[in-house]
Amino acid sequence: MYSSQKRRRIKPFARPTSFDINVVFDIRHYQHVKYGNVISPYFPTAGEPEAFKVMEGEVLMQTNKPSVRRYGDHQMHVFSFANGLEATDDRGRVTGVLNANDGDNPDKASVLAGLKYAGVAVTEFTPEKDIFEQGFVLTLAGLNTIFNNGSSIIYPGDILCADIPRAAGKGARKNRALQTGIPRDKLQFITTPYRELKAEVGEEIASRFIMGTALSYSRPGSSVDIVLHRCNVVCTRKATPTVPLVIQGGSSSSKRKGKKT
Amino acid sequence: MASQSVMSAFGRQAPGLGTTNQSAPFSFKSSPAVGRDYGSKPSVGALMNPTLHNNVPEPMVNSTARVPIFARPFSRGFEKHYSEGDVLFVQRGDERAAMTKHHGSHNVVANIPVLNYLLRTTKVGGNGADKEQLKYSSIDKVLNAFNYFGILNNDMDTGSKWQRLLNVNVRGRSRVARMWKPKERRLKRGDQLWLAFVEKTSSKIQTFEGPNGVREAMADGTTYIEVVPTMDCCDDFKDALYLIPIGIVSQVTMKTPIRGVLNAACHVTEKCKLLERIEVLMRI
Repeated sequence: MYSSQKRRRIKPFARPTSFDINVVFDIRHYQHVKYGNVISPYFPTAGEPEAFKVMEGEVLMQTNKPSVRRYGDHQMHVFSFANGLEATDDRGRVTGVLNANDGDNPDKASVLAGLKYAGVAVTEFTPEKDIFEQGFVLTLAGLNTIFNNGSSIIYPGDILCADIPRAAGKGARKNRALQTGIPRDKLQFITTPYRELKAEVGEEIASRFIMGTALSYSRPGSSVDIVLHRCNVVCTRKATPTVPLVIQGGSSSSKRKGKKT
Repeated sequence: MASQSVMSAFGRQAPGLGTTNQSAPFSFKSSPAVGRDYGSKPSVGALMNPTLHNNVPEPMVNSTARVPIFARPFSRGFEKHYSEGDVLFVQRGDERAAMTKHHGSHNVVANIPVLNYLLRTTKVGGNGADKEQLKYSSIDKVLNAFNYFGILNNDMDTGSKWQRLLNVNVRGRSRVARMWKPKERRLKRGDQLWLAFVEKTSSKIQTFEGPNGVREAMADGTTYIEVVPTMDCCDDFKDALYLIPIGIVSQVTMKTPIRGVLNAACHVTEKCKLLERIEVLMRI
């Protein structure tokens, strides 16, 4: 049995100080994945159409690949499913050699290289029903409550990053918390503390996916309060302090020539 | 009855039009005619009140925080041409910026063309051997001298021709000149905009247009620092000595500006004024 409180995403903060914009669904990426055009995906595609739906509070990404950005408009094209993602190189070209089931720690940096963090969905969008041009709402900043669907315990003050789901080898558990109401086939983007993502993919890539700062303790499968912020940059200075500095929330940042790791 | 109790719960006596900042004490009236004794001028204290205010029960979305700032006049009147959407810097270490009993705080406020002019032309001065050297020759000297402040929204005191009281957006939604252009693609929503301090060297005797459009020469081989709008895909981003995040794009115009116009807008205020305006979310 589950309580209704667990099923719902209770938002103790009703998104005060939020900054929202209208975005549109990345329909080309959706068609690319849904109709089997991905030759060697990192993650398997999903069978049911509901898996491609955008739900409230989901982490949204955009593609960073030149092949799918030719919309010829000024809109932000986003999606919320990790199914069918491909590994790409630095220039956005599909390498097609990696698969999440290949081992315990496949190189996820090459998958993240093809992605760009967008924000958190405020309203939902169903690609086969809703009007593409109308789009939906995405929040970039402000207080919010999202679902901790990663595998990490989040502590207040942790810097959170958007991430792709952990790889699940043959016979292994999926190692992620499944949100009720979401099809099991769907691979949602997850939340991972910055320090863990940095250890996996390096500082430069991890800093591109910073979502905000956690405000509450959260175990996998429960909700986490977060203050979202987008003007983030991580820089490493040669002079003291020697530790990497994370400057957030619109602060100015310094970056010395050739010192960035 | 029910509606009355709901309204009283929110402390509202009658339903309004949903407009904010129109009722006292949040409104800024248009500048009144100044009497002979200056008695009708709004006090500086009244004008310095912050204007962030939410008069509705719903959460405020895409709000804007603004602060007023007095701009000290330049001898050549640069500050008179500042317009909505100009990115503003404030000079540090100016004792005249302190508010006293007798006069309000006055700051040296510079938009991008004026700041570039100051960085390019201000000399050390005095009697030393380096008096002809540029004062802002390193990034540390620039950062010690200037702070990024915000984006100009409007003029709060149109009645005075001697000084400008600028209302400046410091957080949230703001209109800004479209000075940014990605290296390959179009500018679009969600893009992050930066200002970069880059080091440049004049290759020959170059002439630069000043903020007023007057050309001035620079000697061959002079190294100077310039502020340029940049994005993470641009070369200036990688070569920057220092980067300041301006905001995230939330609305874009259709027309892409020409690169030459953008370069000119970094030097001449009028060229900057002619650029289209886009909407950004600052310091979020």
